[in-house]
Amino acid sequence: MIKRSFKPLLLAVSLFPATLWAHGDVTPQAVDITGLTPIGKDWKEENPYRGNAKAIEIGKSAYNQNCARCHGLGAVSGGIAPDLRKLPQGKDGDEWFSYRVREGAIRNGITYMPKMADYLSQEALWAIRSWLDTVKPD
Amino acid sequence: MNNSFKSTPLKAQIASILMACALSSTPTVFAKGITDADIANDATTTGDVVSYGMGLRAQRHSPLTKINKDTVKHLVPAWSFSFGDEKQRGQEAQPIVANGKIFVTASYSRLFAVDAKTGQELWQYDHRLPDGILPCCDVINRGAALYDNLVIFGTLDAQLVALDQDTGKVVWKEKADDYKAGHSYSAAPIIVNGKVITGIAGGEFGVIGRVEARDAKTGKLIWTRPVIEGHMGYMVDKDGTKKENGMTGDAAGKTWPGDMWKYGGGATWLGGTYDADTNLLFFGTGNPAPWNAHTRPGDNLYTASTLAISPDTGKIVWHYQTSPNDSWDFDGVNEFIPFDFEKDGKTIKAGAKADRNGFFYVLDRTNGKLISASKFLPDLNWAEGIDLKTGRPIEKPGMRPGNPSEAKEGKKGTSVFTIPSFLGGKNWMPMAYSPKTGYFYVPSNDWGMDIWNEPITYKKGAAYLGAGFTIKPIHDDHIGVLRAMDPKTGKIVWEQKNVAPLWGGVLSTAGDLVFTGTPEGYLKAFDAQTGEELWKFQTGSGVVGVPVTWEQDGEQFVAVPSGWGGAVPLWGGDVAKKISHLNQGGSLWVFKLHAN
Repeated sequence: MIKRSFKPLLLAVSLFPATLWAHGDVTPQAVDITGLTPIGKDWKEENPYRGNAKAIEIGKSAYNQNCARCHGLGAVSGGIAPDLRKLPQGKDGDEWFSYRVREGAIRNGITYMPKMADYLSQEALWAIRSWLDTVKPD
Repeated sequence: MNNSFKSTPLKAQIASILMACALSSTPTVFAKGITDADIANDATTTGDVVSYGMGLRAQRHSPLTKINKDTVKHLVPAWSFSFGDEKQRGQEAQPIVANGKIFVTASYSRLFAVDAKTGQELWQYDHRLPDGILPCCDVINRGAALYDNLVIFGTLDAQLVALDQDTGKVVWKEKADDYKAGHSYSAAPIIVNGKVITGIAGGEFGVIGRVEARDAKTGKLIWTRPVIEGHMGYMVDKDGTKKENGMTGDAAGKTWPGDMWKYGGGATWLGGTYDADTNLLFFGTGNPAPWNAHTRPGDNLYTASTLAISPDTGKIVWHYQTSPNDSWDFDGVNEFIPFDFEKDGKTIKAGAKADRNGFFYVLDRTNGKLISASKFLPDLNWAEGIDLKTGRPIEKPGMRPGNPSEAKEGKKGTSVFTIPSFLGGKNWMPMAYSPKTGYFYVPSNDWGMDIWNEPITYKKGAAYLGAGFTIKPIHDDHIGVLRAMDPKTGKIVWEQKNVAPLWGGVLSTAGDLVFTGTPEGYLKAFDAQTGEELWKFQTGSGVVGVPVTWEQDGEQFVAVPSGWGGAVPLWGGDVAKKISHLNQGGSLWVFKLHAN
């Protein structure tokens, strides 16, 4: 299911609009990333925070406030959106994760998921990924 | 043909004349425009359903009796209609029926016109949705409104669209707000004396709730009333000039600290009801934003409230707040249903609301004063009751999540376990009232949550919560419970449990029946007096829509959309084991009594 509409990462990067950071730091961050090493604008291929306790803590809260409304509380899907506990660990899953949060999921004109990177920083998104890595299916 | 004519003698005469004309001409030319009188009388006329709520009071009661507790066992499908496409998700609509056509909205801002007799599609409207819409809780729509030759509904990108009932062509289209900031329309509009009255959704994104009136024939704005203290209301005159029409709550900052009122929430996401006796609109308002109540000490008016608004002036006549300084996303958006009852030989003009917070309120609808409040959720644990003098909840100590600024590192405040959960003792799904039994039929859910607070700042388009939470069933055998409430005593008269949470609306009929659907796929009929289950039918996907009934050519019909979705399967969590196996769908089912 998750893999079905996967596209190569390079394509995703080239399509990625540069205007996303136009707001700069004028707008407050929805997720407080204090305590995380800044990553910068360029998207990492791998989660720079994997196993980082601070990132896991921040990611847990950020997930709950921004993702749980579709993917389920505690990352336990109620059967509609993909169950993120099944996202592969490590680089495989990172690649998919970064593609999806930047491109969203839009198929046949239907927005299944907005481009979350329009709203959350790269730091916040990798923090969410760090927490997801700690949640295992039942 | 023109089978939805009212049974009054004059109308019957007109009907027969029109029928005669129709025989020698194109029938659609004579499709009867829906009038204000049709809408005002919707609750008592049985040949059509021209408004959300089956009448503007939204009692959802039909005087029809052909399908009754003796005959309901013979209820069988007449036809079923698929919404098609890959677009499934929750089908939460109430169908409307006029001139032999059913108008039903579906997920992803679609609207279908179907021949009521045959189930054949007449036309389909697919609203073109932009990428990046931000619907909070599934891509649902709750129904349309009829006026003149128009069928009017709201879309996920916060537009109101009016289509020609015969052709499905757009007659007018008005953008209500910026979908990028989290605004959307999911509620069904209502029409009051030629005005289309709507609220706005977007509760979790800091959107300011408001109620708006537009000219139903043109879509032009007449007035707009923000529901948060400090925001200016406007009136638009005939030449399009916008004039100030009084600040909501008179001044900013009376019940909000600093400038927190600016993004204060209070989304009016469920629409409203109207009562002609008092000439008042009743709109529930949503939760304050952000969820973290420590950031906004004060009552935070008018969030989590019922507002009575004049449809003529757009001014707030009274308010009643159910959850002051809401800490739990209890919200207060639930429908307020006007009804009359006798007490000490007097007729009381009342209204009832089963609030997300688990209390069933009966108010004097002329002035908003509390008459009674009782628990419709027996396990409710956050308050002892409601103070009848002040109208405020008597909160139990320690049932608000702790302040994160008092916590270690200022990150996460202490967690509390409350019943109900943030999805409420009752959510959006409308209850029904039977003037015959005098009971309200409340689709409710027994569940709780752990909730804690975290620091938060506003960002356009981002969730504005400042809270973490779970959701937990509190009984092994059920979450959903259909409860009959006696508004005179505040007692639960009967209840019917359901494994999955209930998420569909209720219909009551003078045939002593109560209809509602279940996520497991059934449309069910219960004895209105005793609650005994008398009939059920498996529709193939979860029923989270709203059933209606009407009469055509001497037969009584019942219709309900089927299609599992809505907020419950999105939030998942500990509720997932009761629902994650349920399959999506998208169809309209119509039933009638079988021939013998």
